[in-house]
Amino acid sequence: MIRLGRKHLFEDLPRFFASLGGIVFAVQLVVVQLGIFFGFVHSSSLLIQESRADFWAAAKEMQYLEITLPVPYSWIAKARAVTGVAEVQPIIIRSIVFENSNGALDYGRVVGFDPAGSLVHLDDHPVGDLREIAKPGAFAADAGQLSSLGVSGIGAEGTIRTKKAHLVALVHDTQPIISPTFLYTSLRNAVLWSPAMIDEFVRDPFTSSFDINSPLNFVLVKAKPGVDLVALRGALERALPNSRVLTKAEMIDVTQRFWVKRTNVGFILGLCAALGILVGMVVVAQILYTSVNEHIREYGTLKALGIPDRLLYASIIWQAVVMGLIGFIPGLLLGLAVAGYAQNARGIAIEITLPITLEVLGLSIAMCVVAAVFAVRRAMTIDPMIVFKA
Amino acid sequence: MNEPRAVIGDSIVMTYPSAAGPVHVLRGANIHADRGEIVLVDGPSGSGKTTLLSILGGILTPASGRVTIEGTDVTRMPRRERACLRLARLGFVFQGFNLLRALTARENIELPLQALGIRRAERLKMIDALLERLGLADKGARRPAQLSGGEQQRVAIARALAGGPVVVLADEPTASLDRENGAEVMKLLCELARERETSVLIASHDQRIAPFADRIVSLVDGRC
Ligand SMILES: Nc1ncnc2c1ncn2[C@@H]1O[C@H](COP(=O)(O)OP(=O)(O)O)[C@@H](O)[C@H]1O
Ligand SMILES: [Mg+2]
Repeated sequence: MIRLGRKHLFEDLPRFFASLGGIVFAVQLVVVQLGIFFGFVHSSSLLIQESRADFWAAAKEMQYLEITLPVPYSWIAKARAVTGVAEVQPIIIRSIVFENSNGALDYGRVVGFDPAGSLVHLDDHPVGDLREIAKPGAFAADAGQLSSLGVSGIGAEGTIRTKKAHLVALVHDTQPIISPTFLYTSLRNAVLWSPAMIDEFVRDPFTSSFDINSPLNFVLVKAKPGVDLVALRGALERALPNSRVLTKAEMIDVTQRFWVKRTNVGFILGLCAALGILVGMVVVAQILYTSVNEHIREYGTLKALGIPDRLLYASIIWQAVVMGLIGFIPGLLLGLAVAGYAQNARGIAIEITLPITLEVLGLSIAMCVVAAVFAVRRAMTIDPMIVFKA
Repeated sequence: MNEPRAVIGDSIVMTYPSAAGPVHVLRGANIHADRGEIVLVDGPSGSGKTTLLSILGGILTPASGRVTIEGTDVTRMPRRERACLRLARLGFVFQGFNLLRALTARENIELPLQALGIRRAERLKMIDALLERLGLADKGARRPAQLSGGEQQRVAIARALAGGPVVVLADEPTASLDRENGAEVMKLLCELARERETSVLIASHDQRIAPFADRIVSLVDGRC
């Protein structure tokens, strides 16, 4: 019956290629949409992923990397005092407005950390010297953000809150796709460019534990080797009042979930992918259905001879699976080509990994099999009495 | 007479609905064939021969009456079991040949054998023997479109006989063939059936078939 399926599948090549066209269209759309989705999600947490910290401690109100309340500077000392802690380094993340030399503005996030410390890690191969961000008014940015900042490259100058700022290094693959431009600098520069506002801390003047000495946003903690991380997390939470201590993996998860939920990106891209699948399915369904319609007499003959129905249906499903398999390959290639174009020409990070690829393969086959249901249903209704008609 | 008859149709009644009221095609038809017996069901066009054959073959369910194949009651069997029985114990030859056009002659004959689960080596041997016997030894690789009508019907006969059926049901097997080819096809079908002790029930209004039959049954007014 596989043989019959094969012959039916390939006997009308133009039709076969038409169905492949539908599958290729659907697969490439799914590949690109999924690639954009994962690229987007992944990019939102690059700073966390690249960090060398075991824990990220923040105010308990923390929503994700870029929305949190300040925590007191005293947390550094408190965290250092916890047994099992190897290293503690703070991060400041604040909003700024960058004005380039022509007066054009860009919205940014200043990310302040200790350039001499090891817990924040940006790029092994930066352009320029990353350590220079320790100098007054110096910062680094992602190489992909030059046009957003309106600057031409290293050495460019601008202003942040009336203070001079100049670009000393460029890093790669650090910038979240839809966040404001990240400006990496020292803690000191960060505080200078974005001093804490009083009302940012004093939400409740009677109970707030925050005060003007609270310039930090995150405290990164690295454990000593072999330390029980569960116990250490508990100890940190006890040592840091009103804190939320997340493992690196949790912090990544929280941040990615925030973006997925906030932007509905999954829904939007999923909708595009679903439409692609729908189109592919309609094409495949129509073609398999037509094929069954063209072989009504033959299917009727098989039924009359007593060939089990399940073999008949298996031959149709087999055709669907083969279509899904064959169509997947050019679909994937086209998807990769489109992704490559988007990445190179437009700087849109697209992430197509092996698991995604395999998922799409499964989806492609599933799409074709579901599409085959219509053809199978048509085959079910064929009356074997047709064989007696001359 | 310990052995049950190859096929028995007992008091078969069949009515088709139509715009002008029900059409009573069979009104209690009785028919049988013993092992190896060749029976011709004779009757004018529209007398219900095809209807009778399809009921005997378990393709159509009669309004009432009983069909047994080697003593097994077919009429009350579930659809799937009837298909199983057709595959294992019945063979069919049609007026329109009904070969699968995408498959070669060999592959057409192989189809039911494969569905019966017969091993490949054995299948090929059986097919070779049949092709040889039917004068198609050099045409096994051809598709139906590359065969004459007579040759196609001979392939269909091979397909019908390949699984070693108890009964072959042949509906107007010569109606699409010229005199010469019709005679050739009938001769081969009857010879092979006799060799294998397979019964053949032929529905036809072609008078030239009569000499091949052991017995002729006339279907008149829905009865025989
Ligand atoms: N599906 C059907 N619906 C209604 N009438 C039918 C149907 N099939 C056959 N008939 C009628 O039943 C009668 C017998 O048909 P058939 O068995 O094909 O006769 P034969 O094979 O002897 O020519 C004819 O009058 C035909 O028109
Ligand atoms: Mg007829």
